[in-house]
Amino acid sequence: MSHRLTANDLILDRRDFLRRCGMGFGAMALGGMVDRAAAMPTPDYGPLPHFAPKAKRVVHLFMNGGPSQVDTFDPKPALDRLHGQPIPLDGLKTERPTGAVLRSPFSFDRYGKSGLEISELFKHTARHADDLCVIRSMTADVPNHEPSLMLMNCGEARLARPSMGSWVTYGLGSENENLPAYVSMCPGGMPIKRAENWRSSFLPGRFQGTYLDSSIQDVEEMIENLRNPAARDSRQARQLELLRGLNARHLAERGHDPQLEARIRSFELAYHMQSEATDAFDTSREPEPIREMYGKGSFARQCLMARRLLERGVRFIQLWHGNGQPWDSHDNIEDHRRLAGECDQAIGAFLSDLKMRGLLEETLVLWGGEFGRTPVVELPQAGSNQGVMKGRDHNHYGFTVWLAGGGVKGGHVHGATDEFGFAATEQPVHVHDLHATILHLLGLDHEQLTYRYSGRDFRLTDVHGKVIHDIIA
Amino acid sequence: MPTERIRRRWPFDGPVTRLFFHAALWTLAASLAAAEDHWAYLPPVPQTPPASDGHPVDRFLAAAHATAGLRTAELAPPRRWVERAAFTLTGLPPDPRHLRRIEASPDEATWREIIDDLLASPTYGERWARHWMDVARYADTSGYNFDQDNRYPFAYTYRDWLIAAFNQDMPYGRFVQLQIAADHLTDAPDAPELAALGFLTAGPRAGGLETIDDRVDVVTRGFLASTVSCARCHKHKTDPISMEDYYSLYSIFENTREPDDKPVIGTPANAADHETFLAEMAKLEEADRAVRQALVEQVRARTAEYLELAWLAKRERWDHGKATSEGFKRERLRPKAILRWRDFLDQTAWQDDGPQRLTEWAAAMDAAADDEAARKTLCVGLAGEMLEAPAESELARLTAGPTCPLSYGIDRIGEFMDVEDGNQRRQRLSAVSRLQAEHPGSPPRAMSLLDRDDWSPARTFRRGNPADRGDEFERQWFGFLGGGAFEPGKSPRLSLAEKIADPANPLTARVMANRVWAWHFGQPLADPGDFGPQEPEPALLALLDWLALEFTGSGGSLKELHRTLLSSRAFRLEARGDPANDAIDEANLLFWKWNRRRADFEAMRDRLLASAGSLETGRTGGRSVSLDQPASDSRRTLYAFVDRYALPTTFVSFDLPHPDHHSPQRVETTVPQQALYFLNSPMILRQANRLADELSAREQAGDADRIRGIYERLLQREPGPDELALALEWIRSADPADYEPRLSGHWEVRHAPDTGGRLGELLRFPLFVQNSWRTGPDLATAPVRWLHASAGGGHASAGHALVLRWRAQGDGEVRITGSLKRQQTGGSTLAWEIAGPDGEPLAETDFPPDSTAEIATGWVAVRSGDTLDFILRAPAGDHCGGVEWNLSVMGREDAGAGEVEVGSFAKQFPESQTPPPAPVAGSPWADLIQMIWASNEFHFID
Repeated sequence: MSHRLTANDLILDRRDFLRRCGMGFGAMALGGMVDRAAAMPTPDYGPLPHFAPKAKRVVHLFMNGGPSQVDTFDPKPALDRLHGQPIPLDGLKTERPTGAVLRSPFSFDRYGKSGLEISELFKHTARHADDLCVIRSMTADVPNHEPSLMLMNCGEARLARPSMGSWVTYGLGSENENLPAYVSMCPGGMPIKRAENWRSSFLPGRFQGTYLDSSIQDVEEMIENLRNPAARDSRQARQLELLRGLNARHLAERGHDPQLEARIRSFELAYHMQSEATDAFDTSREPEPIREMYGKGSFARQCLMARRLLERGVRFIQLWHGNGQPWDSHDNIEDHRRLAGECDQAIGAFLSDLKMRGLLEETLVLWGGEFGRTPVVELPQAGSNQGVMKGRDHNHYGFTVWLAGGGVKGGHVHGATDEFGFAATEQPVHVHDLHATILHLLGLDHEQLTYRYSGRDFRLTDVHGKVIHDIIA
Repeated sequence: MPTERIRRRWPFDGPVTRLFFHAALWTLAASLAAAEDHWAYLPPVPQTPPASDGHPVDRFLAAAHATAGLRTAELAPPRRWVERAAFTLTGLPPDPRHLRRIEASPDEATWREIIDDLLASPTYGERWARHWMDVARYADTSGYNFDQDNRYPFAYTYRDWLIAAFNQDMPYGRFVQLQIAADHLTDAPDAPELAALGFLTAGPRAGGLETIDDRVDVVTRGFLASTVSCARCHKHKTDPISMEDYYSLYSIFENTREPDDKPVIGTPANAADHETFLAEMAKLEEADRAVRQALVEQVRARTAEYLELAWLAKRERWDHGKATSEGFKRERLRPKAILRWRDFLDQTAWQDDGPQRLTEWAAAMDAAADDEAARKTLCVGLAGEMLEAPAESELARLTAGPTCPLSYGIDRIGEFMDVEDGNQRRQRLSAVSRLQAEHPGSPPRAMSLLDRDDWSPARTFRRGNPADRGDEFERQWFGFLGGGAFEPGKSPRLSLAEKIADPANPLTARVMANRVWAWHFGQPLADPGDFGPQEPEPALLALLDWLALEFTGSGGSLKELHRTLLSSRAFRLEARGDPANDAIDEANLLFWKWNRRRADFEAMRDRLLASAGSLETGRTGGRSVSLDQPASDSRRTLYAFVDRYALPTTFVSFDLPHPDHHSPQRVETTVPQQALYFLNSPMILRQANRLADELSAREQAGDADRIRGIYERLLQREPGPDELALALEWIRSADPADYEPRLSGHWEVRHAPDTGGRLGELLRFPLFVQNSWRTGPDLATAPVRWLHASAGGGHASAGHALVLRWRAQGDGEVRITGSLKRQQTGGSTLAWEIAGPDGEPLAETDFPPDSTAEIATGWVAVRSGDTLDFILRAPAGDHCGGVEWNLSVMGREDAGAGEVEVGSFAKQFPESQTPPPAPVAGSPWADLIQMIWASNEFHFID
């Protein structure tokens, strides 16, 4: 039974398409899939891209907690001038009490042919200035972590919606059926909102991100139950064959049911994950010079793992800085130095490595947090920010993200904030617009990538989102 | 070592966040009619089920289906009814007798008898307690607790109270009231009902304010599905919830305390155990008392020095940090005591009209500012007078006053403890928790709660800021539910409990009826987490109201509600229906067919272990157990120890809600980690092998009968002819080579006399102490001096070789890799070698001081029982002969296979002389069992 995609498949509506794949898969399973290469029918993907993609894969470097734009990629000399004085802007309410202008303790330099201005915090990243497309005019809706994380990840602050990675893998499927298509790594725990950040919500469960704690060194420990100490490969292959037979009969009696099909699939995925994951996540297989280039620490390890996963066709990877909300420097912005120190070298090395291997062209790298920080100082209050007064509060009015590779302009700045870096004033880019643009770069029309659930066609950008054509190379 | 979870200590994050969630709905809210018209705030309207025959639930649904143009599905085969009922009511596999009965007579009377049977089973309470534990965000730990034991040793008594409450069909009103105010509803100090207060006290603790907020949240969301916490900083944007509403509750929980000595509500099974426990406990208490007493004495004995430092502290304006460093220089004078002396003197000696003896001393001290010796004399003099002051003298009166450090006894001395005292105190407290949590003679206690004796008034915090309190106001019942001050002369907490449990409360019964519906039908009638004004009127509100009123009318009997729901046709519909319905209601929001769903984690594990014959279903209650332990295979999953700080990954993979949050409904995901659990987890492998052994130990039946036996045991049915053929063919085509023991091995630690040539007979070490093998307790005087081996390193000895021997189980090829490092600087040159199965050297070299060595042998063929030895020698003396090692045996079953680690010395370091049991090779029968457990049929409730 052949399952190659045909032109016919492309004009079917999505639900029919999925159902056909599901049925086909069940039928396929009945036949017994012994040959490993043919173990997964190729076409069990979502639709092909709507148009020619510039990027095939996404890596989201998530600086959770909210990095400050004026200390990283959006220099504001006015802050030095007005340091300690009231900010001459009205009407920007912050989450907590804030006071006078706080200058950046970090110096900025121009880098690359483009002369992109980047602070000393990201010296290694700055070596790739001519690859970066910096959006300085991002905006979100509220200055709070939870809704902003949900907005950045799922396009909706309040209601349970699928995450961007789920939408992308739903739309494009995986290039490697032996690994999860969507991986979310965080060292030492989870960000706040935990697994909601990579949930598939009403999309089928297989589009949910697979979470891994990247601080764990031993692959078998990182992925629990990865290996059966007693069963050889040949024996497990036979076990799976038996399981397929049992499940196929069960499914045939019940007809199409995404829950049943997803669970059947999860076993195929798990089986192949055992060998493939052991290899993919094992950074000790990298030559010493490469490991040195990335540096030490969890973030470096997960960047290196990400590169190995990208090479193996993983579609969407999220790398969180750490558990909780590390970039949340309310008390002292100097803390950004430590945080950048934990990731800058690895990010620089990651970009170099992708370039060296020709992967950057097809890989869209996104760096940023759920929002930025205020150019004014946060005032102390009982229980927080006692006695330091060098920190910044949350800021959703204007913040910075950057993109690299995957068809964006390099050495490019898009949009601007006001004189102080508080609010986006030129070419504001809402998170919905960023989502629309990322989907566009992947060859997906954000208005057409829909999923019908309970009587309504849902999409990542809901009723919003404009593609920012200006940043596309 | 877990890294510190980052928690915001400031009070806004959660609630403000929720506030902003709702801010997006501001416009919507503005357009809403007055909140009084919100459906959930109006009392349920008495409903007559739409006219037609049959069960009232079905009549409501039939009307909704007719309106929507849906065709209701057919009845499922009777067998399914029983499967669903067992899953819903007990979370266990159906009773085979019930299956036989319903198949023999699929009538309403039999069906009702079976429902009653299930409701009478104690396993019913276990199932429903677990549902409620999601609501109550149950866990066995408090969360992050620095280095102190974070366990709640008695959280389990709350869980056990829940089980009993469900089993005895406690009226829901009482169930509610006890969980908020059991202390006011019983007089007996040892009443088991006190355990109900665990609902409030077993939550996360992230600081005082957050703990109170958590309790406000769990009460309002848990019983009323209302998010009152939004009003912590602000009037609720979309809900008509005022700050007074929030702070009324806040103040109620602010005015509670948890007794240090939790009430004992039962006796340990074994009296002797109890005696030992009490003795151990007394020892710990005495140790604590002794430490406090020592500090009391230190403060008194060193009064002169404290006086001197207090004077300096005043003069040089020390802060706590300075007092800490100065106190530390003087053998830990406690900084808080120094500053307390300073404050005491500030109110006395440094007052113009202060007591004469003290003002004189102060003046003399100032005069002797440059003369340390003179100051010392002054302080010694004053201290002596203070300590020896005759009764009734002014000095005696002053030093007995509560602000003078000399008045501090063991009850208050804790206020002076420094960081190190705190560390030690936490260790002592941890020892107490450990004893209470682990000692078999530790009696059950209730995590109870009491009102404070003096109620502080209710005040709002402006913008949620505790430093900015608003005016006092009278504690009141929620404005959006009618408002009004609480009854005077009664604990407001009790009044709150009564108001929530009041049958006239429009939310309480509806909220519960909605959840109970969802726990039967897989989907709720309204959002189980939010009945606020942004929640639109449910499509089946009439049904919900009817159920709520029935529930209230039955006196809050959950068992009656179960009977109502289970006896409906809706509960017994086919999971498949008219495909045309999909275009109208694919999500089945109108319940036109059965919602097929996967068993939740608890039901999955319980059903599996029950079918394996491992589960003890007759044993109810008891301490929580770690699911990692094989011994826990006999316990139902609700008895799992839940650590909210480090939730086991299995729980995460299988969608257990995080116990930091109230969770009225679980999400269901399908991820490969779940599949890996069925392919590889030790529990599954262990149980499959155990069951296969049990079945094969029975009379030798033919393969087909054996397969029938397995189907009967696991799926409670006959295999179909095609299934039987599939399984038979699969068993018969099994390759015996697949079931040969896999290459593995274990380590032995030995030593042997070393005379330079071949080693003599290998000897066992007689002792294992301090995590190392040795020949005597003290290495310096042991029969073979210095010789020892631990997981990460050891020491050679002149004349004796140390031998780390790896013994193969299974056949294949192996090689040793690793590294060595000299621990000390300098010393004698050592030597190491690797000897193969026949004693032939595979690698050897000298090991000079200050060096490291990499070990890498070539591949060696081994058969089961063969050994590889790592030998460490000290031919030139054992001076500074400590060595760190890291040794691994890599193996492959044949030259073409990939290599895997088959023997890590550090991970498999033997701590006993008994060799570990050989790994179970398994059998095709165990595999068949494992795969049936893994199959969809086992997991989905059809």
